[in-house]
Amino acid sequence: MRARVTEDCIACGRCVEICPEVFEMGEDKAFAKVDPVPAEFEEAAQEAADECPTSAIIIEH
Amino acid sequence: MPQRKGSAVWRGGLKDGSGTVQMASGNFRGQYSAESRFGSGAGTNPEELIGAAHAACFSMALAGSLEKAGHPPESIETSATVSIEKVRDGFAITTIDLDTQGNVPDIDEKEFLKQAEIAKKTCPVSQVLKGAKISLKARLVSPVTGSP
Repeated sequence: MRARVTEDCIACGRCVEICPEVFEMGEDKAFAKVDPVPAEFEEAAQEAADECPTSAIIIEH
Repeated sequence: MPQRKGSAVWRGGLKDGSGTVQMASGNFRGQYSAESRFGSGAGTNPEELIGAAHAACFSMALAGSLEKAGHPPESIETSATVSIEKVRDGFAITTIDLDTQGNVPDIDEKEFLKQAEIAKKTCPVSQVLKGAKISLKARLVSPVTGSP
């Protein structure tokens, strides 16, 4: 699994709260700090994508 | 019929903007942003304001209900946890979890729970929030007694 954060991110920090192992807050938006997503964090990364208020997290399998 | 007013100003877009929300009474004024709404950033958000309003209304309604049933309370303490979730067309306030405890002399738990359920169903804020699933956890606590 790969995760990326698009320009739709509003930097609310929700993804970092849900899955800090994968997402980190940058200057003006979050980003995925690991690629690919380690298997043990795939579920949390998917949850972060599902809960992202602007659907800015793209998950690719 | 009383009319109450709240107001808000949002400046900027969703990502870079921020806002101020306030009550006309002047008793509350707070900042809010995307981070304070969807993350855990500093500031308030509409959901916690709804929670405060619901907790206030429910507590008042329960006090009235208990009083009417012949059990005037000493105090009612309530919290309301409001959840906002992403749904297909945007966002929805899906659940509100009321958690209340009553300090009520001379009442059994069954009657207290019955009155709490009545208050949950009938309080005006519950009525207006029918789009959300409202749950209730209620506990009766012993009245505080003076020192011997």
